[in-house]
Amino acid sequence: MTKVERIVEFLERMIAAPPASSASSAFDLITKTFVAVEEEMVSDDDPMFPPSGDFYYDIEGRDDLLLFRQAGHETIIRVNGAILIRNRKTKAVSLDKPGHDGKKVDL
Amino acid sequence: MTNTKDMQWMAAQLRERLPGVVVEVLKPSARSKTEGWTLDANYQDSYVVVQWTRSTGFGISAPRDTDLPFTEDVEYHEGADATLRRVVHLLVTGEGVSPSVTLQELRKRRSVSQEELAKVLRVSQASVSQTEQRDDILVSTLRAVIGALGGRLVVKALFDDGDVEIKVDNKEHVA
Repeated sequence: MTKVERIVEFLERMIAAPPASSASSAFDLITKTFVAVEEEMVSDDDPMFPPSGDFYYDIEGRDDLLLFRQAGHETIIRVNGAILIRNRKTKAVSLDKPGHDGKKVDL
Repeated sequence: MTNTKDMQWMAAQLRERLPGVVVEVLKPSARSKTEGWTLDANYQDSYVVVQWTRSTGFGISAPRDTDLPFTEDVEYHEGADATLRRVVHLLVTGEGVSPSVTLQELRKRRSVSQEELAKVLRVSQASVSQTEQRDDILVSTLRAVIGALGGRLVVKALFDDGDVEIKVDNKEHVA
């Protein structure tokens, strides 16, 4: 499968998954879902790069949010388990998943 | 040596060489012990991202607006000078990155040391070093290295009307 096909599968599984209860469980959900997709689906091309703890940054004035950067995208996780994945430049949203209390990442 | 000085130096160099470039440097979180730095550079219609960690070195991407998350190609460079030259070229030309990597770069991406690879392959560290520097390499050697890094070697011929996977004997050479 191509990278695009695999990432679409990843996003569908993320949408279907129960809400995460905390920031750490949200990060675990992303990582486990990503690894499952990469292991289950034969790759036709280059590997993908999920959010990495190495690229974790603060958002000024927002201690309730964690920002993880990939090349062109950013993944923002809220302490309630909400997850927002969007294009850094265009702000186009790929995933906007609420946390356990139904609230989304609010920027 | 790298990170703070290199990323800030690179940002300064970009502003000096490319008037009008917009550069942002993201420093590692003060709340964690992470070490990854990110540099965003926008110049005219070009957008280039540089990310650095000690284990991977400099990773360069040229994301397109239509890219899906996690799918952007990344090419890796050693040293701030080489990275800067490549970033300037990408910003000026608007070209995309070339994700192909050397064996050494691939090993580093997999966070495997030469010593660790040598142990798996049952060769000396010097032998691994020599293999990584070769211009020409046996397919059998390449297969063993890729296998030791956790991958599988596939050789393909690319044609306009389709790709063909080639069965290669261990004794054949890659041209």
